[in-house]
Amino acid sequence: MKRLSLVIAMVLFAVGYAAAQQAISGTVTSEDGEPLIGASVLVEGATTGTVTDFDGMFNVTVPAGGEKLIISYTGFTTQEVEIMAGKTNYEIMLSEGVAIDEVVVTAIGIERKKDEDLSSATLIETDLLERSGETGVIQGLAGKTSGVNIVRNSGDPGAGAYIQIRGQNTILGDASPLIILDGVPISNSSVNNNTLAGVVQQSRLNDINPDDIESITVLKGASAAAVYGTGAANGVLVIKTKRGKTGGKRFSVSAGITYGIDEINREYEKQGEFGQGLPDIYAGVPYDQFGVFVAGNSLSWGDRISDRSGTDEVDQSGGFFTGDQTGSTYFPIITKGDNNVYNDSNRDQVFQNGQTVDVNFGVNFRGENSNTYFSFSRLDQEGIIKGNSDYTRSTVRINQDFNIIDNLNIRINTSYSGVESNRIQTGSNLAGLYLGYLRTSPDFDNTDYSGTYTDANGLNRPGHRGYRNGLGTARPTYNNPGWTINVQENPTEVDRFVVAPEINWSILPNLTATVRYGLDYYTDERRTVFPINSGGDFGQGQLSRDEITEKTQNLFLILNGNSQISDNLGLNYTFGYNLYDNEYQRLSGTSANLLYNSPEQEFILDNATAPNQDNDQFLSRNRKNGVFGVLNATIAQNLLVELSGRLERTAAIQDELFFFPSASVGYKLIDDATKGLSFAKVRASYGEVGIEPGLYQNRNVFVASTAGSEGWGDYLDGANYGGTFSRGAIQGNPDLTIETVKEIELGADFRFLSNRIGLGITYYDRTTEDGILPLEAPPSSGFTTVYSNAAEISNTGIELDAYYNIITKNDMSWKIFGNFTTNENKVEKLPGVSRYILDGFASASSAVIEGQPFGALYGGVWLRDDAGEFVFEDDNNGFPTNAPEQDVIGDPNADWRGGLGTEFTVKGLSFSVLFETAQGQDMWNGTQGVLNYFGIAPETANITVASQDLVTYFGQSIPAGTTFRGNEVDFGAGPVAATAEWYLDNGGGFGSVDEQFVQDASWTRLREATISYALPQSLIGKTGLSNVSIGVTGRNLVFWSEFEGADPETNLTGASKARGLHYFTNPGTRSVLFNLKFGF
Amino acid sequence: MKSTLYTIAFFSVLFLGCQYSDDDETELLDPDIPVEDLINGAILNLAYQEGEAARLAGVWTSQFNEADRTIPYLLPGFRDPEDFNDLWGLLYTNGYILALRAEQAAAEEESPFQEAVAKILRAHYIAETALMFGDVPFSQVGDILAFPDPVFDGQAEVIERAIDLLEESLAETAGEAITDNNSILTGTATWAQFANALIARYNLALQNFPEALAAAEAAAINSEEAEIKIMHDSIEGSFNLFHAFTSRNRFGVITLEESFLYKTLISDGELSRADDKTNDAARYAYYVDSTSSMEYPNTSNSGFFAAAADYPLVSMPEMKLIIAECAARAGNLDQSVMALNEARGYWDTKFGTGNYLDYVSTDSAVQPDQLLKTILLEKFVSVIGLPTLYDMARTNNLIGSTLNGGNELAQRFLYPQSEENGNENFPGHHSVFDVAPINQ
Repeated sequence: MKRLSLVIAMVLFAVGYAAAQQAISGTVTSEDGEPLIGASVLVEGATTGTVTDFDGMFNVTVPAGGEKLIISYTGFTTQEVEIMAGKTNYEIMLSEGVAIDEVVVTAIGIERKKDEDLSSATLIETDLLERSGETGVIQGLAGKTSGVNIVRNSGDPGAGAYIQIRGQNTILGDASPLIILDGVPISNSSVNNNTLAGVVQQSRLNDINPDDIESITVLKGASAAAVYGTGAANGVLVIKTKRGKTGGKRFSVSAGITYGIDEINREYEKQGEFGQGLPDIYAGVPYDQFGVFVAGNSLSWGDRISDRSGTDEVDQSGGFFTGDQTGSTYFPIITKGDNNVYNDSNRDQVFQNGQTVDVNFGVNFRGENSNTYFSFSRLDQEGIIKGNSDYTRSTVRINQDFNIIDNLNIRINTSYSGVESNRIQTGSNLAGLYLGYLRTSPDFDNTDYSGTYTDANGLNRPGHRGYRNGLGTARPTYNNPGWTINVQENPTEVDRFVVAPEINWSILPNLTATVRYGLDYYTDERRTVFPINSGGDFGQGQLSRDEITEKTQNLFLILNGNSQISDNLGLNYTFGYNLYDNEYQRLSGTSANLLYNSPEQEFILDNATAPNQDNDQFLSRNRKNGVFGVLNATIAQNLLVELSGRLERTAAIQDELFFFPSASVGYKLIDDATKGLSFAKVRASYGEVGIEPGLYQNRNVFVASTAGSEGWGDYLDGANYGGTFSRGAIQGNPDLTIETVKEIELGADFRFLSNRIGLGITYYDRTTEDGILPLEAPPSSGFTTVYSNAAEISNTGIELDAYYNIITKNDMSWKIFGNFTTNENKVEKLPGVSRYILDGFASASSAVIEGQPFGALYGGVWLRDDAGEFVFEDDNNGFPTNAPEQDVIGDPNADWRGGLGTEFTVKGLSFSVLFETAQGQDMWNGTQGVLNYFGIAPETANITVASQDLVTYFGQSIPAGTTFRGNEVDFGAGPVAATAEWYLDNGGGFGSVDEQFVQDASWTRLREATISYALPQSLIGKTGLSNVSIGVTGRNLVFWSEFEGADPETNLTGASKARGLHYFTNPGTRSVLFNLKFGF
Repeated sequence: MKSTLYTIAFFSVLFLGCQYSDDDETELLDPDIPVEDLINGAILNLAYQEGEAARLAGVWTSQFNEADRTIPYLLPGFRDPEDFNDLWGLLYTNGYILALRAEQAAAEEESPFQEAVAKILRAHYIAETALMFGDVPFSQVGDILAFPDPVFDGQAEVIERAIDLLEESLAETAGEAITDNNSILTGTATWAQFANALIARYNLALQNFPEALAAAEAAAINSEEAEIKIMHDSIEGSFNLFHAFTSRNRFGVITLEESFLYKTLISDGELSRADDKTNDAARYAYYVDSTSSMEYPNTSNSGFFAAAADYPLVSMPEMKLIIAECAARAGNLDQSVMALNEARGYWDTKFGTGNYLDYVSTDSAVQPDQLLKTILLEKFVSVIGLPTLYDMARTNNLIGSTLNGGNELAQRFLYPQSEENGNENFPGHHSVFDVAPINQ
């Protein structure tokens, strides 16, 4: 409070410099004389302005030196009116036309005309976002602007998405953009969203109701974001929510309801020819008999299903299993005779059409001295996966503005989001969905997944039946997918509050002080229930509960003013102070080896002996404070200069100050709507931003120790042994400093044909210096890792956004728009480290390697000679072999991305489509490789007749004319027989060659197609409604990609830096949404 | 404009006035750890002996087999340098260096007993590392500032130096039970007995047979109660690690089916060692789950791989059979056969059976040309894990184990990729089949 008083005192002092000012008034009308309600009236070069009232009238105070009024209104041509000495009343008429009053919102929340902005920022308005019908804010941005890459983690309801502005910058630092909501940074944590196994978690940005958003400005470059210092190295999303209208009706309501249907958009094919069991040579049968049924075997390399008798011969003398779902009994199989293929019913056990119902309701109220925006929304989504997969979000928002006195405005933004969701286990996970589902043999019926096993003595016990254990005597090695989706539970519950009060005090007509506070607080409670008999590590059952809370507070003190120094020099300046405080904690409790196998699966953490109960916590707190300033100068009307800087101190590195400067210059070559070339501006900027080291990376730590290899679940917990400690394997580096991102940006903005055509082009070159890298220390030194500022990463690219308003008439408009992005990313320096694995497996991973693009795919490769040809070793029988060392096998970064869309409106009918493409990226299809191994992939079920005498991988002979399961392949040393021997070795996903499963993951998709109809007033006039529209949106309806079995727009490791991995990741979706909107 | 300047000045005061304190730490800082906790950390870490390293040793020597080769990773041909990063890290970071720090801290606190215990642990870690890998960093280990890239010292030299350390520790630890001040180890032995047992094992590896014999006798591990074991219990984080792996986490990966151990222990078959003085039925049942058709390890409460089965770091059969082997090599056949009989009798005591009748000098199994093989085969079926891998490499598979995954005997673990990546003095990789220097 003391500090606030001081600011006020300072600012009061400034009042002494107030200059003379005059009040003027007037009305704004359209050409046909209708008053325009809510038109913007600004005094050029000043921060003062107003909007017209219900009668189109306005009053505005013009500071000394004010020469022009700028009047703008959506859908009308902006007009400038000279202020004449002594004239206090103005009648202003706007003509309909192409709106060129594009604005962007700067990093500190100030609106700015795009024509005067010197960055490559783009603003995306609410209608574009809403049109996508996406439940998450991030996803709605896809394809709509250049420079932004958005990848869904999976098609699970409420799944988070990865957002990357320009290329990846940092190895260990935060990779997601800074999110500014109504001027206040909020959390966009994706806690534990990058694990190889587990559930796909939500992104905290999904908590925001997309219907509340007015616009999102994407600040891509360093110069635009420099005022946030270490927060903004990955760009900034400035989100502005809707506010109570200052003009128009006193009270209005807008509401909408959307019903959506989702379905899985690409699936892996499964063969239906061969059953469970071992192949030819392993089973001891000739190649032309294919294989032998073996119950419980992991492989589907068994006999040909159609050769079977039709009925199983079973042993009814001993134990049996009775299924809960159908009541059927299952006995040990003596001879497999059932010749049914269950691929379809096993699929239908798992997948369905998902459904979404989204209801939203907004109220605008304009009082005497206040404006209110209130909204409520409720979203219910049931996923494409049956069982426990859903997402429910309720939001409430109140944005309130009070004009206490003429020059003092108080604004309070408050919102609450409540999210409840059920998630599904995914990924490299024996208890996960896709792994168990896809590996299930075609001749195994998954319908009964739970039931009772009755042993030979008549004793009953509950069981879990899957293809690895058809009698449910013990847990099957892989979950029956029915168990994964119906018995296991992974509920999450999020409660989030964002409160942001703000005081704006217009001390002088040209000087405003703002005090803004933001509190973003959420709790995310996650529970996991693995009932007894679940697959993987959870045979004895496990319960775990995580409680995550994060509190982010920000205080801003901002002084914003302008001054016309002379006719040819206008200044606009902002100075501010920012205090940032983030507290994060995670409290986890786990009970393993459950005592009581409750059929209701109640979540009782006491359901285990005391030593089997464990708890864990993580706490961190980060604080930063900084002073910042932005100085904009307009010189001789057309030359624009901007200087900004932030001086920052952060808790991550104490006792050091960091300065982040930026400078931009732009020149308006022309600004004349009557000309063919209506507008042209060139701009150049340089900026620096930073990435701070992780907390505590500059010190050594000792930790309570465990022994053994926890990765395999075999470990000893020191806490059970009287308490033990070991030193952390990472050597803290006291000399660690921040990573600095330096960027040069050159660009130009053009408009042609009276502003009908717009084109913005930007080139950037950004380099991360002092990139923090966990250098590999030899473990024999006592540490495995030393953090060091050693890496250098570069990103260069071109971004292009364009539009063409082909038709702009009152009752008809047609616009096409597009964007193009290319980014070249390279890890320039990675001294002392052969590679750093971001995530993935020992086989295939996404890694940082010197000279390679960030996140390069890395894995096993074929042994090749200098010419790149396979080397055939003598004992490999004409098959290629793997090289001893792994190598780079792909680039997960797109060469280029683009969006192309069109909007057509005639009277009330609107039609729009948006295509998006990403070309030239690779993805490791680990799923495909493993399906080869298991004999599930259709390719492995081909029945081939040997065209000549062939040799198998093990050197066995297959005479010409012999039928065998597999393929005749010529790798370059003559035809060979690729049988199970090959697919179970290097020809499959568990072999040493990952290279063969890297596929082109380029895609093009019809991202959105929308048709909507606004009912004419003649129809709704008497209903009391002001507008009614109905619409249908198709999202992701069609996509074209060579990637097999899945939508490449998913990622095994979620919203993490490791990209381009697919391994039993839950599938993506396409959707159709029907919506009804109305207002009164 | 002036107001703005004042404001900037004010903001700067605010900015500079905000300092951050260090009170947010939840981690512990270096100097606050009691020596006892460091030592206990290094003791707990001995569990590496029954973890991944023991599984590999078991599969490589064919004590077990790898059943579900969904991801074949235990067989020698499927091992890459990366696969040894974790083990190497455990041995150095959580083992040797922790023991070294404990030793230094104990010296500073003038606590000679703790210093000696830390020394035993340090010697154990470095000698076992050398036995598993070959030449290893030793003389420059533990001081990252002075030696950021530790050189690799000769395998024999490292083991000899470890023996010196063990011998240095004997005096201080003679009366101190291994169970003192820790809740990890169990057994009636003293630290000095432990040290002597290790001296015996390492001298055997160096083929210093007389010294090995003397140390094994001095160790005096004469009963199961005297064995040095890691305690286990049926609770999370305390399970026997074989049990945790094979029964709980990677069920079905390890089997005894088709292993040499299985073929040796069954009552018939070409490789069965059953004869009129040897009946391995009880031992077979101890190792193998008789209820499974796949010969999975016996993880029931009566099995070697039970959840709460304490895991022997040093066993009586190992010590007795060192004596037997060294005596045989010295030509002292009576002493050798007596030790062999004691090692066999151990199992009858354990199971309450009379399955192993004492050999007498006329038995064919203990004739000079057979005795060593009989002793080593007895050790093979008695000592699970790493010591057997060392024996097989040292004797070039004298017992004729039918190896898994090929006929070639895997000799040692691969240097980890992590050491190559971080150490400029890395000498280059060897193959798992390259004979280690001490066995050349």
